[in-house]
Amino acid sequence: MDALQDLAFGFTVVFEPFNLLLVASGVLAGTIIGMLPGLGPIAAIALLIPTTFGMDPSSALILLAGVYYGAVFGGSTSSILLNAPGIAGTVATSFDGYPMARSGRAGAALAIAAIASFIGGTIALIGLALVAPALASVAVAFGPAEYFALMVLGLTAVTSLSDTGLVKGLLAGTFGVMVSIIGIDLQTGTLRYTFGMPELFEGVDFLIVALGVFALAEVLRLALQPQNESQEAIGSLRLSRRELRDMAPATGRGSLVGFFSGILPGAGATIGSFLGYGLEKRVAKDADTFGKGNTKGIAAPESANNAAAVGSFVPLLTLGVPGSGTTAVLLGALLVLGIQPGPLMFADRPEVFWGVIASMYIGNIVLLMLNLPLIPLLARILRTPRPLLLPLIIVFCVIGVYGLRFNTFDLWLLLLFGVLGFLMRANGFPAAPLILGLILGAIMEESMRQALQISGGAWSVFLEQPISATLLALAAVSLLAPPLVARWRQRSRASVG
Amino acid sequence: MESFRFSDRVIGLVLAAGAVAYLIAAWQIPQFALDTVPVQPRVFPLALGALLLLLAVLLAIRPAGASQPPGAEHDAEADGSPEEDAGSSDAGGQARTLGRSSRPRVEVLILVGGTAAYIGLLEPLGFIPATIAFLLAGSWWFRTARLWVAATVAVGVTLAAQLGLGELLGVRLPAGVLAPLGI
Repeated sequence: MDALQDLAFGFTVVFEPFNLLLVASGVLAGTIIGMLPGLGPIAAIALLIPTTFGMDPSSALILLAGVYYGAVFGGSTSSILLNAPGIAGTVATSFDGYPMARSGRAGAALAIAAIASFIGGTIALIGLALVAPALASVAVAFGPAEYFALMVLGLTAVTSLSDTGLVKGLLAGTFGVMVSIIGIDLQTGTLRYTFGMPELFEGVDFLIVALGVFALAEVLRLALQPQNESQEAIGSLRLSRRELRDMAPATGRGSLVGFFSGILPGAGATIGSFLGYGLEKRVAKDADTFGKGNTKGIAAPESANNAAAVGSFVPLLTLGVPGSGTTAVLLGALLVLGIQPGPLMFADRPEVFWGVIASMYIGNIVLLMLNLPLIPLLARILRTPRPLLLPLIIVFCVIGVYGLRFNTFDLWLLLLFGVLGFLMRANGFPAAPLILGLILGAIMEESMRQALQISGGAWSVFLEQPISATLLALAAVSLLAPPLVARWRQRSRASVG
Repeated sequence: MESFRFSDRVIGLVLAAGAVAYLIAAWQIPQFALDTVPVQPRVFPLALGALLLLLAVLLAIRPAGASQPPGAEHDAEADGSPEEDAGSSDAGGQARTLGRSSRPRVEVLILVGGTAAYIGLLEPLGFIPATIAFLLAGSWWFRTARLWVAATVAVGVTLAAQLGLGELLGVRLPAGVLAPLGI
């Protein structure tokens, strides 16, 4: 009952007219930005963070959560219509969505995506309201040693699940942590890696890195592709009863898979959507039609990626550990707004926590209400000619970064990280661990030093505390398991062959 | 993206050299008396530098088969345009990039150079003239079909940003040469 009462309190926060307006505009803006090729939730949130400066923290988070939600759905739209997934989480949607769109049923494919997203989001929100407080009470037992171990786990889990190889993921994560410690060491006042440049004394803002390695790098990538002029008809949005009956169980399974993979730091929407799609294909009797426009092949990954988007809020809000690259950016935004997510957030800022959950319920409804009727209209944005779009994205990035500290030094850093992000992508280095490392790095070092300060410098403190030891063991397993399993499979295949 | 791929060995060696430089810089971070600061500010950077060095060496020495990660394949998928890529390579004389140069390296260099020029001129020239010029030049470079549409969008977006951010949200965008007009 407590959860229900708290949720009711959250609704009173969201039902303030200004916050309702923010939910609606956040979902709309997120959908539009998410639909633009290359601009996923991370870029959408990063672009809109400057608009939240000076806002009440709960209102700001309500806006950004709406943007996140909308952008995940928007990404599905470009996946279905153009086979161009703006974000990794919607890649699985394109497997069946694009063939369905090409067969003249783009409207139906988009409707399935919208409905499945709605159901996935709703089921996950119920889970979030029930699970999050329980997780938070466990998290109260966390001291600096446990936090350090948790940060290590968060970083290794994301890195190990990256699809571009363990070593490259770890290199990206390590580099992110290195960037995070640039500036004045808060414990001793020592300057580290500032090279005598006063602009670096306060460190490198995460927004500069996020916009550089995601948005600007994407512009450079898109500049290397000739414009794709092909546009397919959108068709009717109507679904037959059989289609609705088919997608119902797929949506339910996808929602559960997505939610639980979203909770795990590092899994997130991408893994959730692939797991959802894979599970559905495995249990389906008509598995041979997957990849040719099967409705279940859209419903499962779509419900999973939205459920995972919601699920990734669990570790973010309760432990202060982002479950994905996007929530890492959100964590940065929260810190900018003066909020430290974690177990104390329930006690200190209940209006923020429950306001966000309630806003996601409302956002989910707004998402469905907006997207179904507006699908034909919104799809026109996909026709924004790239010659106009790419310079505009650069200008938006420049405005966002310049607004941080009003100096051009940050803009040069933005360009540097843009080129770096582009080269990383070209050479198979994942960008998400870099952002996670950047966000978690400073907290990781602070927790490590605090723990060592308490233990009088004894490093065994990390292995003596049971929670910390367990988390570090999990981190080691998450790092070592994927390559070991791959090697074992390779050997067993070779022995069979 | 093919033109910007380097072998893992080269990347590993460059990163290893960077890690050594990072470690040397870490050694130069001042030390404090142990009783006041049990964990020195150089400890974490030293650990990071060592980890980077280890990973860079691992990247450089791993077998060639492992040097083409699934990411490269995924990259092509994420480009969302396998047909487009095939088409561009087949077509011979057809555009392989969005801009006026058919060579990817030149294309990226021009885009980075153009953005650098925009950043460099932002404060001396001012937000409004620099942004309009950048948007127009960018659209022209990317072969916009209708330059007048690009011009309208450039002026409209720039003025909307100046009004929205500068006037409504109080973000001080550089006035540059328009400062005498009180912008």
